[in-house]
Amino acid sequence: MRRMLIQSTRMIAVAVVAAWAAFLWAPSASAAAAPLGSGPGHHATAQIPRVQYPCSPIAKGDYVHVSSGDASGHGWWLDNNCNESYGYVCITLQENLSGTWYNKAGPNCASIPPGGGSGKRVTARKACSSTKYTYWRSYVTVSTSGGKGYGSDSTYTPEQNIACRA
Amino acid sequence: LSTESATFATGVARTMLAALYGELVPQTKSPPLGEPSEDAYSLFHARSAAMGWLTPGVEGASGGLWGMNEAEAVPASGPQSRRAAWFQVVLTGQAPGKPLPVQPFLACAGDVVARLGTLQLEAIQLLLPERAAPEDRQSAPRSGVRVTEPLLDALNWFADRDPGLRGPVRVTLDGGPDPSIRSAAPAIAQWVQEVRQDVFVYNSYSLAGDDHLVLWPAPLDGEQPDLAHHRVTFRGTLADWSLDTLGWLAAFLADGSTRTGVSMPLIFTADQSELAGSPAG
Repeated sequence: MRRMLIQSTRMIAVAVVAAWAAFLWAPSASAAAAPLGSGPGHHATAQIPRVQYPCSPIAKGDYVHVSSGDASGHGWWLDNNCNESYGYVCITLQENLSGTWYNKAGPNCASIPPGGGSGKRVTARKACSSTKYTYWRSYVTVSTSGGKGYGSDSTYTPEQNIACRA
Repeated sequence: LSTESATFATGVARTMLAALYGELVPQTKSPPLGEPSEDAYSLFHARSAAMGWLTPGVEGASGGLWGMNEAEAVPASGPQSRRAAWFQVVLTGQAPGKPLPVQPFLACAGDVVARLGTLQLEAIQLLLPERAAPEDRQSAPRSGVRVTEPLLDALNWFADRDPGLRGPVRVTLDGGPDPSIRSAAPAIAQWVQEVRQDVFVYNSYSLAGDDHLVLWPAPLDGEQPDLAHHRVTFRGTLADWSLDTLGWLAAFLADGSTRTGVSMPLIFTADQSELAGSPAG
């Protein structure tokens, strides 16, 4: 009788542990269906925690400048604490006319790895119609909602008075 | 509208560009996963940040010397393709009393190129933005100061160099549509000789078209391919043919140009060619 009791207790403990493990480390079927974080960086056999956590990705941009007759800007993102393979980055170029900012290019968006390296930047360009000096800036956003961290960020880049009027 | 940070005096963005000409041989060792994960842009951005020279691309950012614009490296693809890499930034520091930060700019560019491969530097082209009037002209803190002081402070860095590294250098200053660089040439030449330094030992100057070093594309042209170019070419010897020394020389000549009344943007080009008929060495 005592032996049966011990055996039953062990079986219950094993079942509880197995269920808990299945909850925490389920195969990434749900993550694979997510719109983000399902890029080539994810392996089909990878196991990803189903429980997501909030994180703080960082939107990055450079100074809008003239490049080959266009106003041009780049956007990218830094992972910080998200542990995501991809983030959804958008960049919009804005031109200031008579004190008001107008969207002139974009938003151009792409799902890209973090870091800003080769192939990890999004570009927005707008052809200049004249070389009249005008203020420009860009607005960069990033959001992550893959299998791990979810979060978002946005930033305006410094206003630049450049020889470009669109 | 804010005119802070990346602007000076007129509020106009002050663009500085460096184009390195020569053959860039990529590193033979491929990264473990094939294509490199970084490029000239991301490496330059990272190196600038690491050295404290980068002003972040966010509203109200402070500190640093420049903000990021563009960068690209083009490995050698044939004899016609000589522009191996180029880097473009916008200056963010306030300039009065300080030289253009060409030396750190080229140090950063050199670090990036060295990470990408091996460059045999044949020539260099720099776009030097408009400069402020020298501080001593405005407030005269020290009478008789002829050079922006940090340039003099930097001279020790070039002392005790191997004399065998000295070699000829040709420098062309191109003022684009502004003709003042030509009329200022004699004064610049005199100024160079008056300053006690031996990084660049002056030999001669020329306004003749055949003497100028012209590298393409010209950064001032933009959408105006028919833009006039007013040029002067200086010849002399340089302490050594390196980005470090060329950075100092460019800042030095920009300072001299400003002090002789030329404050518009300049294209600085340099190579090692000698004057025809002059002795080697």
